[in-house]
Amino acid sequence: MALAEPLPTGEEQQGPETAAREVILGYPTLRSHILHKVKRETLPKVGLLIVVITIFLAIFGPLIAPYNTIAATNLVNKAPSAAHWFGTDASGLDIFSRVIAAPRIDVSIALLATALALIVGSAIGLFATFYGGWLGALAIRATDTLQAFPALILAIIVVVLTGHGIGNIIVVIAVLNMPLYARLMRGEVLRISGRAFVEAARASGLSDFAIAWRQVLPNATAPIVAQMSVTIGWAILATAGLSFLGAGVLPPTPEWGSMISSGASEIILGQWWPSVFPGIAMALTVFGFAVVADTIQTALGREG
Amino acid sequence: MLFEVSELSVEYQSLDEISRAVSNVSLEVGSGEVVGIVGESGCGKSTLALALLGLTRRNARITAGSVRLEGTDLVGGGLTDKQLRQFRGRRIGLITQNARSSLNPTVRIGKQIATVYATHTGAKKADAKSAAIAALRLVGINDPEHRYEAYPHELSGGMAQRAVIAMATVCRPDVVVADEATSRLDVTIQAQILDDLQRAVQEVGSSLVLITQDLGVIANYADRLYVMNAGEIVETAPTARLFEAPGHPASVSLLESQLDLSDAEFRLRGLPVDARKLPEGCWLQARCPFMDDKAGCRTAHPELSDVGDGHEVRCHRTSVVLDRAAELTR
Repeated sequence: MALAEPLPTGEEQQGPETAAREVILGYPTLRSHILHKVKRETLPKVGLLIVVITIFLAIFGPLIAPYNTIAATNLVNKAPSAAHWFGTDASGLDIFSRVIAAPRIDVSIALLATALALIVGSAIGLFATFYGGWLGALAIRATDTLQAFPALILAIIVVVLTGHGIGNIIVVIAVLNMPLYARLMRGEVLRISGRAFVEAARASGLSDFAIAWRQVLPNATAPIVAQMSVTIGWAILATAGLSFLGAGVLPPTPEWGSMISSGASEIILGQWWPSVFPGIAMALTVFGFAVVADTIQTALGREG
Repeated sequence: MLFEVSELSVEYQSLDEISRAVSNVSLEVGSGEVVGIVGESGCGKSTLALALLGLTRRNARITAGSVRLEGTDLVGGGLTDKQLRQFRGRRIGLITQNARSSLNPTVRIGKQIATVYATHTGAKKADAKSAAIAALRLVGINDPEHRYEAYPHELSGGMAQRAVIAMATVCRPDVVVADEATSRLDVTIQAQILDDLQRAVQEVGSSLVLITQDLGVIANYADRLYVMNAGEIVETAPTARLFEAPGHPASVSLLESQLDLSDAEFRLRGLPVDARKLPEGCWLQARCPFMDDKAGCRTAHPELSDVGDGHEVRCHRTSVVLDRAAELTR
């Protein structure tokens, strides 16, 4: 359980055995720290609400959209009205429908890319560091090298070369974020493998793999979890950025970046709504994930 | 002999300096016996404890000697890593100092004990759980079914130490090595834990190697004592004999600290000798109140020599020390 890592309370329980049950219930866990923050402060509440809404829309958005999101109509470039809250775009598509349908693509890409980056990056960091040797050193240096490239430019080049498929976008964003997780994990492994319980595990005859898996990994999850929300936000931005530049998801699929892009040319004609609404939606989403990341980090005692 | 260590040496390497933490240590532990290893802090006790399982810290290595359990050498026997792991935790259990940090903070203690058991026996989950609960009960933990679910930070220091003892004994090993098992606990708990440890070890039929810096702790438990200083064994004798007639300045010093005398005339002076620059002659020469140039303390390194009744001392001045110590203990 990643979130169950206890925080030191500075209080030693020395009481008799009978007090055990209260003790077990009484200690604050990371989860309770986060819940406490969410309950007491406004900003974490807002962040959490945004994240929940975004995920809800990623699942149900296209289903609850009031208009068809990809079939063009004659009602082109209409300003926001009671029928079309966010107006319509140059192809006569309802912008509100497209804005709430977009998380299906944007958030899915971000979540999958983050999951892939997290799993592969952490695995590289864990095993390369734990087992060491020249192979481990090589893996860590390779990820370091990857980090030296300007991320978005590399992403554009790769997507242009390999094609616009959603799979490609996911892989590119994942690969760009992998080094972060590898390095975070490396730091944690170096910190943890000197600890007494790792030595104790070795003295109990556990294998290297068991030690890496059972002793090191569960103690290394906290900063990784915090990083996860940051990466999701970044990945949403990157997906939208790629699409804005025409290197990502292509119209008419509802996607914030491409919507901003196709609306951009009309802003000069006073038609601001095709770009501004998806822009606000995206900004809010990234903000929401950033707030959640910050909340977790503060709860971990690492001021973000 | 069940467990036999001979001429074991461990060296730490840092940059280009080598420090000898354990030098030519030989000791024997019979079946069911309780053996004590005593020495001031920094004399190589913990390094020795790990080396008894064929383990070292990352920057150290075992440079010579053997550790034999029923004849199988864990050090120079050419065993594979996998074969060695079948000894660690299963046939030799290690209880490390500072119990709470020896437990994985993210895993329930019962689960940690069950994992050790399952690793070595291949037992099913339910069987491993009941073995872990039995081990917890054996070390005097009340309501072990409930305690099984506790995380390390939810336990008191004494409880955590008991959990570590349970982890070291769950596989019913032949030998249990306890490195400063009680030094971080307060005095009242120390005795309880040692009693629980002794009972658990008797119950599972293990021998016990008790490593401590506190001679008082060990007096009631050990059958035989080894006194360590600067990484080597400087004296060994049956416990009662060592208390009556200590023959080495290091032993006298430990004993005197124990007696809490105000005029500590025989106490070793200053800090432990720098293991990177061991002097010619006796390694204690700079600290020893009995040092005498004429006896060769500065020129010849003393060997362990038998003074009768299984009592061996590594000192050029044993006869003088024995005489003076006789006054002290009287």
